[in-house]
Amino acid sequence: MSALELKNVRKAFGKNEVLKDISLGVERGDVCCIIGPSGSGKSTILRAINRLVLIDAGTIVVDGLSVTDPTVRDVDLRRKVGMVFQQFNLFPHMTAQENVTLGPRKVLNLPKDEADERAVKLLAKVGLADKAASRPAQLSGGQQQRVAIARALAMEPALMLFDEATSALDPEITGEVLAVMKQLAAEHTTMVCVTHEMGFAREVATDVVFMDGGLIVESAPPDEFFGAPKMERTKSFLSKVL
Amino acid sequence: MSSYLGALPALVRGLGTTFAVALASMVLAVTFGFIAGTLRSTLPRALDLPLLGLVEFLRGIPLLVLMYFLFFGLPQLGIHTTNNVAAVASLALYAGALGSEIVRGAIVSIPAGQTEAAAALGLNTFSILRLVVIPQAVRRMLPPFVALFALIVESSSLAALIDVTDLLQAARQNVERDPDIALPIYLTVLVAYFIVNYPVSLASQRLEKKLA
Repeated sequence: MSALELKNVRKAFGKNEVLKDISLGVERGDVCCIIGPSGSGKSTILRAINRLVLIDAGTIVVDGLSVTDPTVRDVDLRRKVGMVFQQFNLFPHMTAQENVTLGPRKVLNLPKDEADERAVKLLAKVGLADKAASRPAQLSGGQQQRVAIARALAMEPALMLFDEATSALDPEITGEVLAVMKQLAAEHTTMVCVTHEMGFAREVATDVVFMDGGLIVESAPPDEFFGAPKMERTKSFLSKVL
Repeated sequence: MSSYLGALPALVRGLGTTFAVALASMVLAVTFGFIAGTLRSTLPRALDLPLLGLVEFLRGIPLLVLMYFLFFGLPQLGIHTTNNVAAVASLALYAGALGSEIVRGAIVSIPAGQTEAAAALGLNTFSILRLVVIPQAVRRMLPPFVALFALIVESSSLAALIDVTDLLQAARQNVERDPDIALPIYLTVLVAYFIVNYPVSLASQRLEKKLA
């Protein structure tokens, strides 16, 4: 069973077709990096996977659970899928630790001490053991994003989605977030990353997917993708970003 | 002068009534405002329409006319109210409509990313509101709500016109007995309203600066 399977997925916002027949598979432990210009539909794919966006046609299956089956409850799907946002979206009225324990306590119904224990471990994992009691406003962007990663991991999801997780960060602190993401990849966390970090994609991706205009133009392992891209559109995009 | 001093106990009792009417109206207005505002910011458009209509209607009518309607009009439908109840009800409806806009505005001002992040964790709509959106929105509601409280205190003086013996009505009654004390009495009433409201308005300004 694949960790993620998209078949013939279509989505339009009004007359604007943002996903035109997308099919994509991600195996357990794989890291799929989706790259492409703005407006190509990359983020919409991620948001469709956890139902933040409902698709018009096609099927999506996450770890055996059908996203497109209306009898599948949101909560059961979202427990399986962790999401990290470009703007972090930490809850500003809660401490870092409370951000991380909210899901486990209120969705998984873990007792407080168990949720706290989990949060402490995860904050240590992302290098923020000493920031548990800090509010988001007291943290740098890179620290906030690492808390957000810990928050998503606390649900022990089968799949992690990263929506341009480093795009809102200063170049010099993207490294600390990428380091955490690389560590997760090394631990065989199944990940789908929409990213502009070509170095990251080349280093950790199992597959690189290039999207443009709501279509997957080309998809290949990173050596092949960056070394010998087949499509003209891919070549011209890579020549601009590399 | 002696009739001025003689009027003071009545004014103090009137101030007590003003406080009671204003306080009861605030509690009801906040409750109504919270329920209506929360519903209005979460309900789909079609279900929101009746509430939108009610709120817009209440915001578009003079408070005094609403008070007259409740006190003089409703009895003809067999709904009898005391003047105090009619005053509180009309103030609560009027301020509640304004309050619902404060609540709705604060809720919709919370960035969509907050709701999305909470939804992505698997929280349901009610939990998202209760645990994520409303705690943040309440901070933004505080300054305008404090200003609304000041407005309620001021507007409660209209209740004198349906014979609630509040501060203003107590003053009127005494002036009717002795028109010569009109100036000191009404000056006293002005100052009394100011003394009650000024700390409220100061608190509002402070909160606004602190939470900005």
